[in-house]
Amino acid sequence: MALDLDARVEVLAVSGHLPRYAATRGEVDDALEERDAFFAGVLADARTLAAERDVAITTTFKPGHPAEEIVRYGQESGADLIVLGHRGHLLHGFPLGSTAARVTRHAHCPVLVVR
Amino acid sequence: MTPTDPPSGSVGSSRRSEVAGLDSLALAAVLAAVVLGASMVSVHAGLSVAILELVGGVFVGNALGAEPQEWLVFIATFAGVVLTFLAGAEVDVGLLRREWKPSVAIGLVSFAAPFVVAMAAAYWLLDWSAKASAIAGIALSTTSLAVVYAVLVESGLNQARLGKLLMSATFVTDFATAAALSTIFIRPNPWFAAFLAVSIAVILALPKLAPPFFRRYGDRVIEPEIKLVFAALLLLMWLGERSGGHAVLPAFVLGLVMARHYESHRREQERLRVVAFAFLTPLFFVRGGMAVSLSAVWTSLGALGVLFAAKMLPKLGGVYPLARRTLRGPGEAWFGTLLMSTGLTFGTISSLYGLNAGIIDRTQFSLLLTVVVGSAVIPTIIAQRWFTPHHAIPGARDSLAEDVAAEPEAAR
Repeated sequence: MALDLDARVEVLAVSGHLPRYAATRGEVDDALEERDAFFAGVLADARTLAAERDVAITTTFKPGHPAEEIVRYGQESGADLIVLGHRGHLLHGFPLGSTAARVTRHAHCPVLVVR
Repeated sequence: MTPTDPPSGSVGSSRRSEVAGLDSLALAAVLAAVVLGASMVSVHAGLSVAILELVGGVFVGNALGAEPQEWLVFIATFAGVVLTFLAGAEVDVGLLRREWKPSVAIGLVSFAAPFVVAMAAAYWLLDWSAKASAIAGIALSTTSLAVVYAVLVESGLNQARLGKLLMSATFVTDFATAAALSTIFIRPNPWFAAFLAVSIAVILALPKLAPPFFRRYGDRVIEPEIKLVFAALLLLMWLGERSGGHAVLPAFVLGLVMARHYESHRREQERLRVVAFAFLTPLFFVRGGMAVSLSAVWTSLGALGVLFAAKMLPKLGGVYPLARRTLRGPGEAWFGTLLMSTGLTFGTISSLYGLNAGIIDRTQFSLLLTVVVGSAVIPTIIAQRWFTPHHAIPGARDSLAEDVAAEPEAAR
């Protein structure tokens, strides 16, 4: 789609919460290292995929609340379309997970949720 | 309020556990299952394992009726000192040196205001003894470095001036709390001189001894470097107890003077953390939870409200005016003030010291620990929900993307 539309693609990875109400800084540092390694891998995979398909992308990582950060980043970067996946919901009858549902509700532009 | 329950951890409490059908090994097995469950839930829920271990301890103590036994009390006491050492070792000494001037006032007021008000409220409003009131003052004066750090890192504010100032102020508050807990209950006796002399000697010697010792004996599975630290801490604990005080101050300072060493020897610090987090600190928090009496908290909600107000109001009233002078962006002063109002580890350590030493009873401990945990949660939620200063957050962490780009393809 990006090639067809000659679109600029920005890949955004947003982390969830670190351990809340930690008792030691070590617990936070440990989670932080694990998180950074995970997202470094995710962004590396995105770069590899994009390179294979000859699509130019930029990658960005943000800590914070996923839905809030995606919506804010979309606004600030002037995105024409937000594309995101979703993990579904544990309960039947809810087609979207909470992040996808919130982004579709609050985004300033169209949102494409990929199943 | 009249103290009625005997201090937990006494021989009597050990017998009650046996009466309740839990001998030492049965209790150990139950606690092992609880701390394992807490670790697993913490990974999925994004909650600190310490909070879940406390909750697990409350369950074991109240639903199963198990009482802490002497072995558990001893390990938990040692774990508290190890936690204090780790807290000292986690201080960013360079940051503290750069930011100490603007943060020292906030840090000291953050300690002194709730210390005085909580002590006075416990003494005059709740009719606690002078020593029990002092424990209340110390336990409720703390600021949680780890809670503050997690919020700052999560939002990216740790890179901003605001975050650096708050971290530095938290170090100052922690130091003041450790100093108060170590000195207020000291009885002037010959042991105090020995405690003081040995504390100074260990603090001066260990950073010098560590590099050659660790070079010669370190990096082995038998962990001589961890044993060296534990030996030093146990020596300080013994002398501290003989002098009627607590080894928390020398342990904190010892950690502080070792911080530079651990900065350049991360693996040593990692291994120490592994030992602490796998075995020691879970038992510390579970033991704390076990000593909480839910019925005592339920029947003393008024006292709970008084103590919570005695922590929060002076923190807000004392820190906010100072924070406003330095943190001038929208919401920054309130955000900083609320984070300085959090507490967890040192509050738990102080309360457990009071319980183990027979200074406070189980009801008083239950109230203090409930306020401490509440102060870790409530101000954090309010600060993050309504006062996060988004304008002060530095740009996206492009460094991660740069790291990925710089990484060799083969390593990806």
